[in-house]
Amino acid sequence: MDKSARIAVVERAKLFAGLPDDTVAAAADGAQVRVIDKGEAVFRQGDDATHHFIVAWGRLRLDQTTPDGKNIVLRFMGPGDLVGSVAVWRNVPYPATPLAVDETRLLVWSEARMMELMQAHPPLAMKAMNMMGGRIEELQERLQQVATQQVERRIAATILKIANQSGRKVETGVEIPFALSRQDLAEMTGTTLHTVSRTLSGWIDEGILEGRRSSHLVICRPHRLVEIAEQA
Amino acid sequence: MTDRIESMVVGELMTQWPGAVPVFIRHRMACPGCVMAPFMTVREAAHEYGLDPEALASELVAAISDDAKKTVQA
Repeated sequence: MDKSARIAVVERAKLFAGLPDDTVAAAADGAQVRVIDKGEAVFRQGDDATHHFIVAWGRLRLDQTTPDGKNIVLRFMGPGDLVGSVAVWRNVPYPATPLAVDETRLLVWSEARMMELMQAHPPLAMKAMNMMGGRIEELQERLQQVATQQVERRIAATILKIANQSGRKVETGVEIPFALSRQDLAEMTGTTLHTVSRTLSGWIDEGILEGRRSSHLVICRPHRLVEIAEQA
Repeated sequence: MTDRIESMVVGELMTQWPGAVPVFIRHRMACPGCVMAPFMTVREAAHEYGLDPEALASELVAAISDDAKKTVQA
């Protein structure tokens, strides 16, 4: 990879985007190139975090082994993405293993080299902070999603269980043939009346359920409700 | 024949003729073990998965035993 190719990669990486030409050139100069064959790891979870990587081309899958031995896929990464930096900056071992889904080429900077770059080009440090902030924002959103999803799953599963036991087929779907209040559902699912009301209103708007406050619930789209109850 | 299968409830079909279960599995349908299987017809289930109900019913007919066919025809 010649210098102009390295510059092209650095320029489109989020960490360097919009920074002055001399910063980009210095970063491209200080980078080494590493090629990872398909199926190979860039580094392993638990290794000492010593280098920053940016994907030049190819694709990585970030795998993490949980304490109970399960493997989870955290994310996929492609050209321009920064790999390993959070661990290097935090001075902790790499928390996951990036595996090459296809042959992948990366630009690599040692911890010391990146530190020199940041000291010589302070806007780069600002950019890094901005990126870390972006990651936190992403995680907060994901956390909120997971929390909401869990409540939705519980409510869906509870309605399905009741319908399975006592439901009857009606023209528009499966009816729960007795008054099941929002408060009952809140207590059964360990959530608040407000959350149950909001969730049911959403499902009624989507046509999954039918039922005004005073009448019996009808599951109009049982398949969809099962999907919600079983979503990961 | 396929018409009768189409309007049958999936749960009932699987209970009466376990031979039908592999057909649902083959199509990656979640019907086996589903809490809503006692309420949905084969036609409705096919619709949810974007399958042709008649084609699905034909496969189910082929999968269940000769005895079962007699029962449905009777």
